[in-house]
Amino acid sequence: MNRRISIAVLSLAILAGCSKNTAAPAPAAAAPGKARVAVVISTLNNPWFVVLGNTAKARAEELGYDATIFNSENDTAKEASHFENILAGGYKAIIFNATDSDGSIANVRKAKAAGVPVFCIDREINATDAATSQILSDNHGGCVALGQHFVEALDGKGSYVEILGYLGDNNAHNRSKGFHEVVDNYPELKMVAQQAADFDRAKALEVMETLLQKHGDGLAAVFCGNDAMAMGAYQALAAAGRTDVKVFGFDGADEAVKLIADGKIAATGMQFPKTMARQAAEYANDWIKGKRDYPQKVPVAVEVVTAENVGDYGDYGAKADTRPGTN
Amino acid sequence: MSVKPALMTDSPTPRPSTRWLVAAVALAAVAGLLWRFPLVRIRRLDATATKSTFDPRDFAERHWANDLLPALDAARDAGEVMAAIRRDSAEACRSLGRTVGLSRSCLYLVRGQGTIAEVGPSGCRVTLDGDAGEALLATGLVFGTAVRDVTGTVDPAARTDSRELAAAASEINRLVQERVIAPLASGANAGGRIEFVACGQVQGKLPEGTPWKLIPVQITLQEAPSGSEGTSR
Repeated sequence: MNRRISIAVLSLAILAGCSKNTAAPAPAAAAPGKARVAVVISTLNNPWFVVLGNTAKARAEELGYDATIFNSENDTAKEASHFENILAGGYKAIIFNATDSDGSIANVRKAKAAGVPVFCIDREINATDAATSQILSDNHGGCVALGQHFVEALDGKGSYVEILGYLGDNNAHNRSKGFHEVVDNYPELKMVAQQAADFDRAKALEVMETLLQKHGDGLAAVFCGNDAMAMGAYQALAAAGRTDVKVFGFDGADEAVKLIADGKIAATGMQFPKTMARQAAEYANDWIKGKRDYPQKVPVAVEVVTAENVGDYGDYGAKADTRPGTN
Repeated sequence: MSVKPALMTDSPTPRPSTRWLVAAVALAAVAGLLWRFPLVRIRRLDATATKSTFDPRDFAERHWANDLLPALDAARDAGEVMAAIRRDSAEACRSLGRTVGLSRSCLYLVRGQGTIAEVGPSGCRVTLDGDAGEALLATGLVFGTAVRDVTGTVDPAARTDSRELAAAASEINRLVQERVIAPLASGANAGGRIEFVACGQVQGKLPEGTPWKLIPVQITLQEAPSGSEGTSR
């Protein structure tokens, strides 16, 4: 009853907020003689996504295009508005980091209907007949591997909390499921709380503060659905003097890798945002030059970064990466 | 201009108490609607998954019978693969293994035979015939997508939602656990002979001085020196 009343009040508040203007800025004019490529990113409120967007833009520019980044601010309405502007603006291809696995499909279909290819990166859309290709991290497999390291690091026992990402994104589910596929086999590992913080560092900090008050005694670890939340959780733990709690993240953000090297975070999953972004820009270039045959989904394996192998990683990737399009 | 007090009395404008009543009824109606159809719903993480008719168990069974078992005949000799990886891992992957998408790790389907050196919690250690090296066959829990992907027959775009293929990988691992690993764990003894087909995953080079960790997908055990023989696949 109380929850329903709260929801009703919250709904009224949201209705009131809907009057805010969310129109996207009009696209700037293209540089003369250059075709335009759009890079639509779910949010730039996380350095990992900034790297994803900037790398795609830089690679597209290297290939001779005028590239523009559009920030959806995790808002599907804003994302839709960007797509309207991009299609009206004559862009030749879209490199797309979706806001919502289901909610973003319509935008991709609209682009396809207009003859503009969409190359998804990092985040999947739940359709295989809309995007030209989707270059995606193996989130499930990565968190299976991370889960195995988690079990080893905790010696198969102890209490832990899980901080989930944005639930509208498949990645949040895949990461949690992969992690639990391993960890749930160990009955002495007990999850005492599971809460979402939407992949957001500040929210994760608040969530961790609250969880520490409720479940701090004997807490051994926290598993976070991304590195931004892991760093938020680490901040809360450090402020509380709880550096004994092992923090596990996911993404391979540079800051997290450095904290692993410093012994402050236990592990993360390297997602290779630069590899995905560069490949998408190259796919877009190929399309503009006439290629039409692409694999619908291109998985990219996630690698676990720990104190033992952290020297092999940095700058959002692996140091000895020989894949095409990598440094 | 004259004032008509009577008209003021007959005016349709509601009195203050009536206005409050109308506002209260309207607010109650809106609250009722929002109660019945809330704009924000709170659901458990696992309840937000899209309903699907996909059956990962059925997928795993069909993959086992139609893709994995027929592929076993094409498995490469484990000793040769190990030697090739040590010579040039990139070339070994190109010629003897396979990668998935843009991944750096390489999957191999290998066969071998040898003598069981040890059976412990970390696995069944096998000394391969012909001084070809050592393999450590898993005897515990199996995770990940290596077995699902080693044949190259599962298209990553076979399902619109990658969560379904992740569930399929878990089911395939369960089959490996039940049909191969359980008999291996219970039937293998040090000194016995074993033939196996297994899945290996290598990122870069093989670690020196330690056996190659493999997930068995078919085994034939033979007790030494005069034990019984049995196959699990």
